[in-house]
Amino acid sequence: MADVCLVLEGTYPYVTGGVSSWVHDLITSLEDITFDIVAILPAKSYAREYKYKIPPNVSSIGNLYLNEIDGDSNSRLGFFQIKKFFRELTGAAFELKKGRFETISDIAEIFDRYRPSTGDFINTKESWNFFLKLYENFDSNFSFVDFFWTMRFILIPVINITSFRPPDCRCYHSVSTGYAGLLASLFALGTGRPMILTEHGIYSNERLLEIVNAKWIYDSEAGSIDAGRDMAPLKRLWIDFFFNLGRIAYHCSDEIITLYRDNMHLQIKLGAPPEKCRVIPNGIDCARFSEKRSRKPSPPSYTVGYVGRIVQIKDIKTLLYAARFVVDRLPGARFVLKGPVDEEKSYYEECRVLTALLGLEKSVVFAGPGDVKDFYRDIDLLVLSSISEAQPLALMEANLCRVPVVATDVGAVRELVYGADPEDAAIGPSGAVVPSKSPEALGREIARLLADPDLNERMGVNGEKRVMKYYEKKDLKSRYLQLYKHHISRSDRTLSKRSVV
Amino acid sequence: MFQDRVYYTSMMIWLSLLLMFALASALAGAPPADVFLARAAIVNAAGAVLFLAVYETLYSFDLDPGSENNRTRKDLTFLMLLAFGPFGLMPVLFIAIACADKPARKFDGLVRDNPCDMAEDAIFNYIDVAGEFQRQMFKEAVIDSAMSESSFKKRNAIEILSKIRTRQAVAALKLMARVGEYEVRFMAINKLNAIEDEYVREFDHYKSALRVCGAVPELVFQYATLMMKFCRLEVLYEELTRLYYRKAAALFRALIEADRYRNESLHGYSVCLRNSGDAAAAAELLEKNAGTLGGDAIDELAACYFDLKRNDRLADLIGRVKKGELPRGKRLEKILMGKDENDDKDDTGDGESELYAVRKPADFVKLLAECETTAFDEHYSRLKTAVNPSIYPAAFNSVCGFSRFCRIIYLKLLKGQIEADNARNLRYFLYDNDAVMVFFALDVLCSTELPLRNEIFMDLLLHPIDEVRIVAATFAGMKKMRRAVPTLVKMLKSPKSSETLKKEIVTALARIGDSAAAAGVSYSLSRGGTELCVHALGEIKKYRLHGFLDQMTALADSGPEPVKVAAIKTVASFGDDDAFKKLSKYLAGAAGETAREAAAAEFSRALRLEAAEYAAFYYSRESSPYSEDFRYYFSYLGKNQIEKYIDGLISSGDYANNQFMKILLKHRGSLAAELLEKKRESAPGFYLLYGAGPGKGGE
Repeated sequence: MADVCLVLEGTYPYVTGGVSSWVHDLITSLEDITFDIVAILPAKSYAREYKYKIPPNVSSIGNLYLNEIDGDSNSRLGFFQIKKFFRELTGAAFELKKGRFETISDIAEIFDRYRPSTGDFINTKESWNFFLKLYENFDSNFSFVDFFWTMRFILIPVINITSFRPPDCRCYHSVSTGYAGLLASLFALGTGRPMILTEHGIYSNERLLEIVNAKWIYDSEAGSIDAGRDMAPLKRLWIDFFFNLGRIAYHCSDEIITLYRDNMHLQIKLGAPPEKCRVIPNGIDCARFSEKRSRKPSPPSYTVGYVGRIVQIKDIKTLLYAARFVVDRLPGARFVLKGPVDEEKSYYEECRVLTALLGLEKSVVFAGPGDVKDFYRDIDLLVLSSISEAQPLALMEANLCRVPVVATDVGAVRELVYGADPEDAAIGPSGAVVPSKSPEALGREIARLLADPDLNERMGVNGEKRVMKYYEKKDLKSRYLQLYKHHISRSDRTLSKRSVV
Repeated sequence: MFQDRVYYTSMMIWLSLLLMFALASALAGAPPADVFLARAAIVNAAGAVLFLAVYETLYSFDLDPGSENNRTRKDLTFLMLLAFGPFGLMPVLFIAIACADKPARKFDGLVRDNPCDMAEDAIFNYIDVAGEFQRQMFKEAVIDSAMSESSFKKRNAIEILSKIRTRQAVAALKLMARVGEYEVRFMAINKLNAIEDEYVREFDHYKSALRVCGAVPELVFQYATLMMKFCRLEVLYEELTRLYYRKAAALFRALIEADRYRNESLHGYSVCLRNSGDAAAAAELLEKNAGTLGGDAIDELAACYFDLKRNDRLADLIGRVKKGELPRGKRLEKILMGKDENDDKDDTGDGESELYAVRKPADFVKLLAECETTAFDEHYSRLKTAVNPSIYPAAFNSVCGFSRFCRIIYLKLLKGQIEADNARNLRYFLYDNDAVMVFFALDVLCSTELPLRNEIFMDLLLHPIDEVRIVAATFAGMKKMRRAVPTLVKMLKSPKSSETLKKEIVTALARIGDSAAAAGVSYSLSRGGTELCVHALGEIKKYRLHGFLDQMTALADSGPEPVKVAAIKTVASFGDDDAFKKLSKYLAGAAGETAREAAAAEFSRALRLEAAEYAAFYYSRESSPYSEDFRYYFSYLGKNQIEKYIDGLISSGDYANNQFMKILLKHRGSLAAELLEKKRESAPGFYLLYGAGPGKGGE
């Protein structure tokens, strides 16, 4: 029996990125804890090769495919059983719709008892009647056909989740709400063992943005310019679904963890019980960045660095506009953008085009990916122009190397630069924070921090102090270790009590 | 046999020639399709003549005697093949050429028939404005939605603004990119980025076209015009906008030097120069070319003089235009033909005034009157888009004589217009005999930040229509108008005021919250009916008004049942120990069963230990209206609190069949198990009773 079952959606070990790296890091740093991994993927075709070397303390990796229905499209339940199943399910579903999230345990129990196939759920007369009843109780007035097909798309993943057997673990840890949160909740409810939830970005909000802009969900008034019109009912259906998944996960979790306070407040706003919420920020390995920047910016040549992927969400174009602003004032300034360019190739190409249009070919370098350890020593400033972030690692790394930062006001950036509480703030700012999508403000702050070497140095030192004090990886990993140990021992006590009984 | 070979051979040679021609064309840079077709037709015709001659020569020598019997048919076949066969192969050849993807072919469609029209085109006009405005007629303006409290409306507004894509829409999007709500900010930024990206992609397309096709004047002109349009949207910050203006200016200059699109380019060049902060250079350039300038460029020269404050030259220029020595553009034409005082405000100098084609009150009034015709859509959309709003007040007198329909449209147009004159005119509508007009006027007043708006609402508190008084009271509360308090209190005391109005007044007073307003609220508690009293208690709770504790406990002691419950809830909402101390007597049943249950619910909601027994009691009752509160109590009561309760139970010794413990074991099994485990040694009896049972946590 593994100690912890990590439930992951669309991340580790198949996809690289912030959350995946965090998971990999967590597993490798807690060698004494054994892990089972359940990776949730949209379909079988998404299961590619592992993007990480799997550490020895991972005992198994299981895949759950959300949208696969092959081989299970026939009805499995008998005549009376299926009637009973849907009768019970309808009652519980309406309770759930009223916002009584404790009903999820009843639903889990119903599914566990009957074990319906996907076919039972989508290809039977009873399922049709079930959808009809749901439709009649739905507030909006729109086509049943649209409702039916939307519900099918919504429910097929849910059926696949309910029929997935939980690995035998001492506790369950989901790294997002959504499908992963639901699966972990069902595991926890089914086994009576604890569940931990860690959210980096707020899943429900991310889905909200995606759905509001989605073109694949039918909206009969898509071309309207009436701002007061209601959201398309099908979009509302999807959004409610994801928000409810979030609430279920919050309800079933024993601990809800996120990276910074604003996110925690957002979780509470979305229904997380405050007493379960806490913040454990990301940390960095301070020993790895032992060599610090020693020089001050010296005119006329300055180097401004960027570390991260060249993708739309990082708003590199704003950075380029800001670069134009800086180069007009400090012609010797050079911008070095370090990070992979192949994730959104077309965006990278657009950035190249913009660089040429702005006449920045000599001032901006797309350096590609590579080890950043030495990179920070050679730059005078780190810049971050993202429109969405959680807790940017590059910012902490730069600060640790005594490099100040100019970053947009997203995610935990403000906490990282100005401090999270009065004690932290007393250290002093480690750079400047500007609004997103404000090239002029970004450029002005970059120019200010480059042109004032003393301020630049002072902020760099502040940054180093802050990271060493609050974001040392060792400390933060030990908090996860304690958390796991606490829940594992709780789980063991419950188990032993049961075995005695 | 030989003749058959001749057929095949002639066909093969013919095709080879055609293929060679096609390949040569492709390699040479693929001329436009029509040239290629013309050449192909000539080759085809020449081939046909050539091979007919060859065939006839061979046939006349009788080299194929065996073909005598089928001669006519074979000749016909040959001719048919010769004439039409190659045409059948044309598509294949064209595809082959297209696949060669010669760079120049990509830009075949880029040059417009009339590039000068481009400036007039609404290149990003995706929406049916007239139709949409008709639908919008009785709905909120987009900009109001963008600035509203609702995130949902804001998101919709962002969608719409990104479709409209005017300078004003971009400015609104920029504002929204700074709001607090993450998802609104994110969406606005994405839309701004999308606008930018679209232009940058277009620029790149033109750049590539110019690199491949050379400096085709049409392309250069289109490129420069597009860049100018981009600048006028003001998506980018000022300095960068100037940079793009300079780039566009360089392109226009190249056209002027090449003497292509001279007048349009002179105009564009000077617009770019002036907007990039060099009006003097623009004026100099235009003066040099004064003799050849078109009307729009003369307008621009006038704008430059105006910017540079060269009034003598401006007067001289106008004089020459008047005399007919120089042509006049649309703007000067309007100024010279019948300028009114409002026109000056509207002259943005770079064609912005084109937005307001209707600038005279008489034209506006005519357009408004025409709204009643069948072409409503057209007239209404013109009213919304083409009329300079500053002429609305001047049209008021004429509008008063119009039908209700036209007057409503006039009112709709006033929405969002903040000039003082509009406020004055709106007051006439607010006291109109027609209640519908009054309500429409009230709607405009509510949604427009007019000068003296607060004073108008003060007057409206005494309006003859009850609904208007209700809205005015609400407004007074929203704006915390302390001056309105005496009137509001007077209205509250008046027996003529309706119950709804009184409730609104209480809400307004609670919002204002000063001592005079509090006296009004106190009056409603002591003298108001049950409904008003309950409402007042709700507002005290909502706005956290202090100083009513004694009055509320008196109501909880002796008021009617709904008032008792509301009073208990309100007292509890203050959440401090004093409040709960006052409430404990209700828990003991001092004011009857309903009050006790309400008090128990409030204690439970506050997770207070005093509620334990009562929560357990009411929890088991199916019909309790506060079942959620009692369930919440058992789900979230703190560990220390529970432990304290258990300790109390143990020390009292009276713990057999305890309802609280039963519910706790059911709801918080693992926590209960943990606490019971602690008591195993110290209270074995208790542990045996609750902790050693079967199942999760001892069940």
